[in-house]
Amino acid sequence: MAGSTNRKKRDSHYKKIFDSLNAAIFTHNIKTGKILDVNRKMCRMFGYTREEALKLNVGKISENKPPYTQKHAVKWIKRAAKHGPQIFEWRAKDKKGRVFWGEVNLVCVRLEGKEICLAFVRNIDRRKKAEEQLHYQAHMIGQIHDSVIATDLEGRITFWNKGAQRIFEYKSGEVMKKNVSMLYFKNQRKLINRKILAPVKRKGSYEIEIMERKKSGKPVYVHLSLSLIKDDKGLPIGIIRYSRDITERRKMEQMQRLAQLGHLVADMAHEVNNPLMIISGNAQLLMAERHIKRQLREKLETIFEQTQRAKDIIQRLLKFSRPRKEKFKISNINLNINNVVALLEHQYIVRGVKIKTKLIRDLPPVYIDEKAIQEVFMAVLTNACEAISRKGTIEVRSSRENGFVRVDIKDDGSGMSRATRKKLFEPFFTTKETGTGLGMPICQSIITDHKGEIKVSSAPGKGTTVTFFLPAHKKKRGRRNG
Amino acid sequence: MAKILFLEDEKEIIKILDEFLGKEGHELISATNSPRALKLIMTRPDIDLAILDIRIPGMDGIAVLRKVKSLRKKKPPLLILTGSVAEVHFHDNLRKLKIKEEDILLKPIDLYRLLEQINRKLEK
Repeated sequence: MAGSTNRKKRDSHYKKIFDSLNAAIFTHNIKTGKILDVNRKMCRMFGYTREEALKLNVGKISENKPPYTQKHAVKWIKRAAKHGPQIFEWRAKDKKGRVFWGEVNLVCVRLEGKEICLAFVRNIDRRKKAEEQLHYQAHMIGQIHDSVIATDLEGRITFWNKGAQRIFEYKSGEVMKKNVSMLYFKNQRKLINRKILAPVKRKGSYEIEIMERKKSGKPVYVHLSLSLIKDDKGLPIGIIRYSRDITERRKMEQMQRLAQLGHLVADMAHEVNNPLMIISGNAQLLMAERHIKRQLREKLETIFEQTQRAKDIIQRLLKFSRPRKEKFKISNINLNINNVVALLEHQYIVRGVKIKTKLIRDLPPVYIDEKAIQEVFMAVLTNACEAISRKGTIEVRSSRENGFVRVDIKDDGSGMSRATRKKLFEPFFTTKETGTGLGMPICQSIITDHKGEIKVSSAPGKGTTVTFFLPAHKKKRGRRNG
Repeated sequence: MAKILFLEDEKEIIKILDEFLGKEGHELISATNSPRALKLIMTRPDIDLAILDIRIPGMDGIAVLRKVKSLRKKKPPLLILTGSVAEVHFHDNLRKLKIKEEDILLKPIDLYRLLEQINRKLEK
């Protein structure tokens, strides 16, 4: 009898533990999966009374879609019987039909000579949803069309999405842990700290439009939006860089500005040319008078000449807005150089200036408006010649470089100060007495029309080198250029 | 001696050409607006040459040109005198109307060059 009393005591003791555990507990028949008993927590979690629960099968309290059905549950129980404890995630369903994620811990035990299976179930719905959300967000950021890059505070890249790959041409594996300065040109790298990192660290977020560098070395203009990443305590741990490619927009803006300037100039030209015509016409009418004295006639002549000069300035300005697309054709840059050199050579020799050419054969062709490009070479050669005060040499070289045809025009003349070089492409800036200040801006606009680039290096007393890059023309496949 | 129609809205420019061409023995018939110029061309077969400014207020010079070009009957040879020919719009329109580049003169023009061009057109 005493044994029986002890057992009763022990049973009620276990029952207490059974009901007070913070996990839903089922006991199952090891063969059929039939529910033999449940604890109080199970009733709370699933919304059934104990009596109701004992009449259910596992399929009823599961999502009941593969792999979360009665059949699958029995398989798990058998696996636990054969291989020992099993832990897995399960789509459970409560009395109201709400499906939630549970973590199931299955153990088979022998109780009073009977094999039964114990199932401990924890509700992990909140954790699962958070995980799914995280996964979804990571996936979303990964797929964003714009570039999203994360770095640590030192600038080492820790995250790189598809948009970043699209814009900068690097794959994620190529940039991880490397410094973000690789996305800038050499001459920019010193400024990154001052222009980008310092303001972000100070303000928490910062926006800037800036030129960055693709893997291929091509520039890309981006609208860069930076924010500090902070940990739970609010301490900065990194920087997130969101950038949008605005290269096309910038090009459009530049074109629009040029077009606007063109219209303005065309309007102005008409307005100014009429009064000029009145001045020059009247001067000529006066000059035609017989009794006009020589002194007076000379002054009238100056008036007339100056109106013609003004006319030239206006005509050159008008060239800014002139599209020349219809004149583009496939051409060899060397021929264009030779044409211009042949034209200028003789008058230069008289002035003591030699022109040497070093032209590479087998250059790829270029797609250009020959007249415009020759005009550019002519303008630069004229500048070069004028920079040489006595004797000197101008060297013209052609070469190929990264899909571009490169032309260098180098003189050993007086060179330019830094200030002059900076203003070189500003309209109306000139160092010559009779200059219009339009030569170099027009050259630049012509080269830009060709999707090319113009660069100038110079120092006082060390001569000047003007370098042009024109895109090499790609032959279309299946067609031969004769 | 030739009769020359001059479409120009600036009176001072008309005065200059009137005096200059008068001394050279030509008669200048001026019109300060397009409809008047068109009417003169249509009603006066004795006009030997027309000089047109193509950017004048009112009916655009181009429109006059188009009308003159579409006339069935005998029409005078044309010279264009303009301050803004390099503007694309005009250039393209002029090309469409088959105006030759040599017949487009830019203001401010040397009067003697203008005279050469007038004589060239009259000789034809």
